Formats: sequence, structure tokens, C-alpha cells
Amino acid sequence: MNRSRTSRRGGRSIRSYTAEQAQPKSNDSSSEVSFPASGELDQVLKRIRQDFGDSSDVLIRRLVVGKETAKQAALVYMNGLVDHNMVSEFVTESLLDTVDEEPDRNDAEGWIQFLLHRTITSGEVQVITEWKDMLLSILSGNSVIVLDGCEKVISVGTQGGEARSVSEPTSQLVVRGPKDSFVESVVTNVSLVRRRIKSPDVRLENMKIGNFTNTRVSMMYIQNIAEKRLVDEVRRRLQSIDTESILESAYIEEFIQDHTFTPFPTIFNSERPDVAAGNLLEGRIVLFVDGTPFVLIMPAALPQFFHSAEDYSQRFDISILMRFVRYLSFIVLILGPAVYIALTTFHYEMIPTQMLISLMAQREGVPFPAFVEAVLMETAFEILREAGVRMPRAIGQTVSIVGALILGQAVVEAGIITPVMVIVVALTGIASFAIPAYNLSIAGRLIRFFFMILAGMFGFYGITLGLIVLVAHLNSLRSFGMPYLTPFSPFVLSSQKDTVLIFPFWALRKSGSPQSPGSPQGGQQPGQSSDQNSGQRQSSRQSPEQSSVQGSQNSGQSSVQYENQPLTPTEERKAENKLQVEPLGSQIGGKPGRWGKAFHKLPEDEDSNSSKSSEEGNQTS
Amino acid sequence: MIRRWVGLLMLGAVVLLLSGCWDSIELNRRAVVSGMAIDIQQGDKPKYKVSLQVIIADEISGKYSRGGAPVAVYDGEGRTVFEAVREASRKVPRYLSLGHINALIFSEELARDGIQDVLDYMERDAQIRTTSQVYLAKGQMASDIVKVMTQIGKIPSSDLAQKSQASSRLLGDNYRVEIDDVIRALQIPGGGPIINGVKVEGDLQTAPTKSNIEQINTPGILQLEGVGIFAGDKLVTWMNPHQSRGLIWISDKIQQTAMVTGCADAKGFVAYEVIRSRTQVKAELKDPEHPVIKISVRPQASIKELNCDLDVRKNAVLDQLKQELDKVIKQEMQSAVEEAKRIKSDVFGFGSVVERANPKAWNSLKSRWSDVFAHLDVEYNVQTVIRYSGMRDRSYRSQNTKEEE
Repeated sequence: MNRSRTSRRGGRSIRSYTAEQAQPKSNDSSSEVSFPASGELDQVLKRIRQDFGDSSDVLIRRLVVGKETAKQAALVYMNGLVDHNMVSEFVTESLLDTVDEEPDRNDAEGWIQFLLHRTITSGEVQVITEWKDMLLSILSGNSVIVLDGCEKVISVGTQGGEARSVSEPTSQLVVRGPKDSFVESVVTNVSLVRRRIKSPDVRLENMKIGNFTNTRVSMMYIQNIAEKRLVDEVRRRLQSIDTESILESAYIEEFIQDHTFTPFPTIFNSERPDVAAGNLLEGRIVLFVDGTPFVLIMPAALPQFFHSAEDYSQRFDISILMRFVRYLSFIVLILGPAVYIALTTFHYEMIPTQMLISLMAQREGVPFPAFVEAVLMETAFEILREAGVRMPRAIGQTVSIVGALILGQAVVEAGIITPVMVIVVALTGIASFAIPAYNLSIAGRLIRFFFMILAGMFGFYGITLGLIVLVAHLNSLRSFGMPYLTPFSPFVLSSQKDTVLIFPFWALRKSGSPQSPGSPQGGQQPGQSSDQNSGQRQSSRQSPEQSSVQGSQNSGQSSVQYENQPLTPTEERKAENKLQVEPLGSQIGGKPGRWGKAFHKLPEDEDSNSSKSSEEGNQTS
Repeated sequence: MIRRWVGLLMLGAVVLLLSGCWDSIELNRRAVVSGMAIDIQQGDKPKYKVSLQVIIADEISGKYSRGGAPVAVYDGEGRTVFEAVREASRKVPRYLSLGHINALIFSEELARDGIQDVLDYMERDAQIRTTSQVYLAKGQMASDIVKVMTQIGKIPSSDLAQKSQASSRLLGDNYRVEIDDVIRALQIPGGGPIINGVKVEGDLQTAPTKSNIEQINTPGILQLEGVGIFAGDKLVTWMNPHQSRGLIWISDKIQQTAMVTGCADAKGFVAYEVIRSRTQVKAELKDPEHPVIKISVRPQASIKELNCDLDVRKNAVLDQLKQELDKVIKQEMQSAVEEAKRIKSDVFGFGSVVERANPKAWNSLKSRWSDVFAHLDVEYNVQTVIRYSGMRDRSYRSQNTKEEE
């Protein structure tokens, strides 16, 4: 959350720079370099040093393998990214400790097999033939064994180094419920979810996104619960991302969301493993992005943003009350100041006489109209909040005291703002914190200003118009094809059990319960989980020429061909628009039938769309 | 696409900016009127004189109070009420806002002249709410009524409105009459509205001054005074409290009231509180030319005061008391009906009861209903239930108590 727009823009400018300069260079190196012919060790090591620009954190450990043959070899890894214990224990030690009869000195393939099968004790081993993959493997914290005379290397998983340990969540707190939260490492995050759902149906697909950052993104879903078309669509959108850098899940979110021009988030995010697990069980897809504790959950409908993990840990009647409070506070958040403005400047007759008198007495001597007053106060509050976010914890308290108490008091006493306005602003401010999803809360804060303007111009008439537009807009939104107002707007009766209301668990779990594992569908899914596949996918992300081919193979549909050219921002927008593909039916939010059927003509739509967009693609190229 | 957006943007700008902040008036630019009094003037002067009681919020709850009066009264003259209201704005620095009028006061003179014209404005104006209460200034200028400093409740009009509300609960010889009620009553053929009277009791000179509220014994006090009954839109006569309660019995508007009867045989009085009551009015048209109105009242009463030696445990005693009470209630209703018959005004709405019972007959009666009403047969059936005897049954001084002990 702290990373503001500026830094993201910075990221973009880097990309536009690299688009011209860095990109061709990297292309060069990949095309020129496979492995040096004959794989002479010195040549290989020299090339590695060259490619890393003699970086001091690339460690090369030369060693001699075998007793009789004395094969020259080297171990290459990145200092700080590997777990040194693992390297010495499972790699170095086992290499130096060969006991069996060795293959012939010149039998390169024999040596690779020998090391793989007979010596290396580590569990995560892979043979790499591509030069670029090898570099990436080193950068990912693996140790690479280079053998003299081999045009292949062995990569051993030794990822380690410093990482934050699992701690309590900081932004999505609960009183009762699990207290762990995601960390910056995908592997840890995935394990936190796996631990909660011990089922072979949980699928994991990995990919690398970001030509520069090569960020690992993992997509998790449950085989028979998540709708296949949804999974395909998410995979397709992810594969279509063409960008230099992914530093946070929000980058991904902006690339794959259905709508750009809306304040409302159409993808849910969470730092809580239990929330991720719960959503998986409801048929949603979870995206883990390396380097951030916030996972993306999709598709997301509006009511989901009002749910808190705690709803399921408290008694259901209490949870219902809490949910009502949250919906109410959202209404207060967007309409509070607007209603105040409308009442005092247009509809004074709606205020009870006694209250009107005290309001009038307060307004006596206040120089600004109610609208200006409200905007001033709301702005001041936003400033305070923004300052509070960035403030070191020790000073935070001072700010809140100066801001809330002194400023609030003084502003009233100076006769600039009426006390009631302070109450209204404080109420809306607090209401904004009552909404569990931070991104919906900021959306509400933004919308609030539009409603204030409308109220200042037209009173309740304006507010009513604004509400109509708001509802229409919400109705137009889709999250991966699912209508944004789902259990309300295509009304799904069975989903009302867990929308505004929440039923006790025995009543809740009946319709949405996971199907029995191992049902016949199981094997048909093209996107298998498993780590081999992920390896394949990794490599597919490496060479983009391959990726589109493979992508279409995998998803089993002719997906949009994305050019391997850096896009200018406008083109990029177009590409993103292309991503806004057809509504998908989905089981989320209830039975598939109700509105899922409406979209069953999906394949044609998909075709027409993809053909259209491929045309566009040709034009851009 | 871009052209569409630009078009939308321009449309939005036109809609938003050209219309501006239509109708937007900040609270500190409003003069909120709490009460309106209408007098009529004689001679060359314009017919209506309107006095507007404007709330001065600062004096009521503000920090910058200067110790002045909580309201100010401004008046204007005009040939119509609207003209007079706008004429008053010469004296008022802010927008006169009529949305919070609590009390609307007509002078007796105006009421005798006819209130129809005035009410058209009240109903037509968007701001004035038709739930405001209406009063008649009995024998005084209506403008005097809005100029009284009141002790409890700083705004005289709210004070007046609360008085009639409280009194209708406690005493029950008047009830809330709103603009709406009056207008509806005017539309009944041969009928007419009833409006509560109000007057300043005591010193008219001191009433508008601050010294009015500086004494324990208020020199000039606003009080409810009788009920004016109308024939058509013209005030004809005033009912005394007994008659007006009779009227309220018939129109089933009794909430609670206090009744007094004599003790059955002995000397002294018994006081009752009627705690609830239900009235049904029906019309019988055996002869379509001579409808008979049947009124049945079912009050429930509780004994509040017993000044004679009666054993209220005994059914016979209760029966006696009940009959006394029935008689009193019946008398009240009778006197109200007699009074209404005298002025030939169907303030009870018997006409619509007849219409409901026999629409055909009503059609022929409608045109001469005033006359028919003047000779209408009315039957009363009062069945009181004495429900409670208060915190004890016999009085403490009762002989019976001693004997038993």
C-alpha cells in the first residue's frame, strides 16, 4: 500500500527506457548464446561472469568430481539468495563424495545422469539446456553445477536467504481466528494454504511474469470446484501480460482486471491464508505473486468486500449484525457529508425544528457555505489520514492528537466550521475504517466527493441521480465475467445465505460444498499442477515466442497472439482492453444455472473476440 | 468513442454549470418562520395583514446571544396573503422560509369573514406544510398571539402547539386541528371545520416584553380558549368546553380526559379519568327522508377521586356510577349536537355517514342537508366501563373499612 503512484510511474519509465535499449541487448545475448560449443568449462564460466558483469555476489566454486577421472566442474550460485547450509550439505558434499564407478571422462550425458541419479542428495534437481534459463535459475537462488564438456547444466534447488517470517496480519486483523499472514515468499505462502486444504485437488500453476523482474506468479485453484473456463480465462490473461516489472500484486491486478475506469476493485486481495483457503473452497482462484504478502482472489463481487474473516469465527447472529453495520457504514461513508449538505442548503424543512434551530445557531457567523465547509473538512481529514499512514509509529500519536483534538476543536472555536460538520466528517472517517476491504474503502472515499458536489448543486435530487448512476455503474461491472453485484443483481436466492446475512455453518455449506475428490473430470484438465509442469511453464515464459504457442496448447483454445514487442502506453491500454473478454459463467456466488446459463454461448463470443483482437494485434504490429 | 465522451462531458457541464445551485440557500441566509398570524384590516388599507414570527436562532442556542427576544415578528400588508408575506420581506434581511410554521393563527374577524381564500394559499404554497396547526384568536388581534413571550419553550408558536397537544391528552376538550383537517372539513356539504380558540390571558401590554418571563406569575399567558365552529368557511359561534368535548366524543378523538359526576346518592363528586374510548357513528335510513344517526360510545374510565362514602367493590355501586357517567357523556354530546343544529352546520360529518349508509338517499338529501341536519334525530348509546379504581378500592374514610377490620 505504501508504494505510491510515483514509484510505479518510475517503473513505467524504466520500462519505456528498456523498451528501446535493454530489450534488444537481451535478445542478442539469448540468440547468440546457447552454450559455448563443446561446453568447455572455462568458456562457460567466463561467459557467466560476463553476463553478470562480474558481480561480486555471483560465487563460482570450482571443484573436481570423481576419484579416477577427475572431471572438472564448477558450482555457481548467488550469494544471499541461497541457503549456504544446503549448498554445502547437499551439493558440494555430495559432489566431492563420489564413490561409485564413474562414467568415462568424455561421456557428457553419462556424467549428467551419474550426478543426477547417483550423487546429488538434494530433492529439487533439474537439467537445464538453455543458457538464459540457467541465468534465471541462478538468479532464483538455485545452485548450478557446470560440468566440463557438457552443454547442459544441473540446477539444484537451494533457495534460501533472508526472508521475513510468518507473523500476524497487519491490515486485516481479527479478534478470533487464525493469526498467521502471508509473507513475501510465494513458496511459504503456498504452503500456508496447502496446510489448510489437504486435498490433491488443489492445483498450482506457476509462471514468470515481467521481462525484467521475472517475478514468480502462482495460480491456485481447486480442480473440481473452480470452473474450468474461469481457470482458463485467468491463465490466458496472465499469459497475455507483457511488462517489464511486477513488484506487487497490484501490477497484476491492473493488467488482468475487467475494468480500468472504475473506482471499484474487481479483484479481491488478502494477506490472510484462511481467507485465501476459504475462497478457494468457494471456487475462486488465488494468485500468489512473489515479493508481496497480498494475494489476489478472483472473481470478486461487491458483497465479498464487506465480508471479514471474522464473520466465520463468530456466532452467526453476531456476524449478521456486524455485516449490517459494515453495509451501513459504507452508505454513511459515501452519503454522509452529501446528505448534510443537501439538508442544510436545500431541504431545511426536513430537519426537525429544534435541530434546525441549533444548526442555524451554529451556522451563524460561519463564513463558508456548507459545501465548501464540507470539502474543507473532508480534505483536512484526508490530509490527516495520509499523514498518519506515513508517520513513524512514535509520532503517530502526536499527529492524531494534534489533528483530531486540537485542530477539530480550534476550527470550531474559530468559527470556521460548524460543530455538526466536524461530527459528520468524523463519522464518515470512522465509517471508512469499518469496511474490511481497504480498496473498497478508498473507493468510497473517492465517490463521497462526487456525491458532495451533486448534493451541493442539486440537493437530494442530485444525490438520487448520483445513486442511480452508481447502481447502473456497479451493474455494468464484471469480474472475470461475473456480474459485480452478483447475488443481488442477478438475484441468487441460495447465495443470500452468505451475503448480507450469514447462516450457521450447517445451513451454509450445503450448496457450495466441494465435490468429492477424484471425480471423473479430474484428469481432463489441461493445466495440471505439479512441479514438473511448473518447470515447463517457467521455461515457456522465458522465450516468448514459445510461450504463445504453448499457451494455446495448454488452454486448448486459440488465445490472443501477443507480440513480443514492448508496447507504448497507449498500445498497452489497447492490449488491456482486449483482455476484457466475455462474461464467464461461474459457480461463484451460487448455483451455476441461474446466470451461468446466459453465458453459455461463450465459445462463439470467445472466437469472434479473439479473431477481432488478433486483427488488432496485427495492426499494431 | 472520443467524440461520445466529449459530448457526454459537455452535456454534463451544461447540466451542472448552467443550472447552478438552483434553490440552494444556506441556513444562515434563511429566516425561518415559526408562526403566522393573519388579520384583516378595514378601510382603505389592503385587506390582509400578515404577521410572521421569525426564529432568531442565535438567541435560542447560539454562542453569540445578545440577550434579545428569541423571535421577532415582522408584518406585511397585501390584498392577498402571498403579497403580504412578500411585502414583509422589506423588513427581513433574509429569505423568509415558511417550511417550519408550527401555528397558523386567524383573527376572529377574519374567521367570521371567511377563511376560504386564505387557505388556498396555505395549500398551494410548496413550503407551508398542511400539518401545521390552526388557531383562532378569540376576541383579539391574531398578531397579538404571536407576540407573547413564553416561559417554557422559547418559541411561542411551538409553545402554543405543544399546549394544545398536551391539553388534548390531559383534558380532552380540544384536539389538534391541522390545515389539512380544516380544508377537508370545508368540503363536506353543509358542514364546516372547527378550530381551537386561543387568547392571551392577562396583560396584553407586557406579554411581548421580556418582563413577561421575568416573573413567576406571568402577566400575559397564551392559553387555549374554546372551540370555534364554522358554517361553511365562516365562524359562527364558540363552543364551551363541555360542548366541545361532546363534539370530540362524537368524532372519536378522545385520547384521555377528566370527567366529574355527582356521587350516586350521597353528596360530593366522583372524578374519573377516561383512559380510552371508542365511538361508532352509524346512520339508519328506514325512511330515506329522515335519517337517524346512532352514536355509540364505549369509554373506559378509571376512578381518580372519590369524595363520598361508596364501596366500589360492589357491582351495584359501580353500576350506579357508570350510569351517572353515561348520563354526563350523553349530555355533553347532546349539547354539542344541539349547538351545531342551531347554527345548521354539520361539524360532525354526519352527512358522510349518511352517504356511506345510503348513497342514493344522500344524493337527494345533499342539496338541503343543512336543513335536514337541523332536524336530525340522533340516538346516543353510551356504555362506560369503569375499569380501575385507582390504587385502592374504598376510600380511607369509609365506614366499611373500619367495620371489617
